[in-house]
Amino acid sequence: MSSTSDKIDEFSKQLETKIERGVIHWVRNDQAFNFLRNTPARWLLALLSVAMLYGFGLYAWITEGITGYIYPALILGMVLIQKLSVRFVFDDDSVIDEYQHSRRNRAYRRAYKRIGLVLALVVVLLVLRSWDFTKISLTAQNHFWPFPNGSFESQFSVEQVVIGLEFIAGLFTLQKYLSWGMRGERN
Amino acid sequence: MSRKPRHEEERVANRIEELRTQVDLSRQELADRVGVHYQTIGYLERGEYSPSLVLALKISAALGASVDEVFTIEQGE
Repeated sequence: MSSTSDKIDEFSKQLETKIERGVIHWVRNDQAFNFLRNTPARWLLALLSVAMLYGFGLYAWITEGITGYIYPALILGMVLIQKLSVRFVFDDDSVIDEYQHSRRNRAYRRAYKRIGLVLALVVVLLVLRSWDFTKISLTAQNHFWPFPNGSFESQFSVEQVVIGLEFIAGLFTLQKYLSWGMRGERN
Repeated sequence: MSRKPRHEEERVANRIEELRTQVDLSRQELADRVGVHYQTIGYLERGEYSPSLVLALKISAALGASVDEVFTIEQGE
């Protein structure tokens, strides 16, 4: 009984792996997706990714409501298209060749730098906001204190916090695809 | 030991396309033989990427030539 069950488990596992590999191999290599892989397509995808991540993110932050649900769906969709565009090079080490490996490593290096810059900018903005708040609150009490004191009145709604977290997740996920570069494939 | 300006750096030139045509191989066929993606053969042929020694040896073997027949160092301007 146990042996039959084991065999079925083993067979299911093998079938699953076979189907998964088959699908990945197909989407990675099928020429039907080549329209996503040339240079103009890379530029368009980069512009759309930035507009969606920052532009729509800001819009969702301001408007809240339903846009907070659309935002992660758009990020996921864009990540999928970017994966197709770069032939899933960030997903599986074992199937990429040395050119893809070296370009992928360069993309990671660039991505780390850019994410660092974006996060530093966010921290600077928060410090400035805190500074502003300190000045306003202390000036109202006839005090003057020119430096940020670390106090920060949070006026973010739960939805805004969620959108902020979605932005960070999107930034970390999409940045490596943006850092892959605009040069697309040629025939 | 300062690094040379980019335009003065040596680059690896190759005759992959010429030799591949001579032995009547498509990019895909050569790529399959050496275990890389066919786009990578394109990058190599256009000189946009310099291969590792292992890949250079595999390509030379697949084209039936020696490494120095396929690859040469080209001095920058």
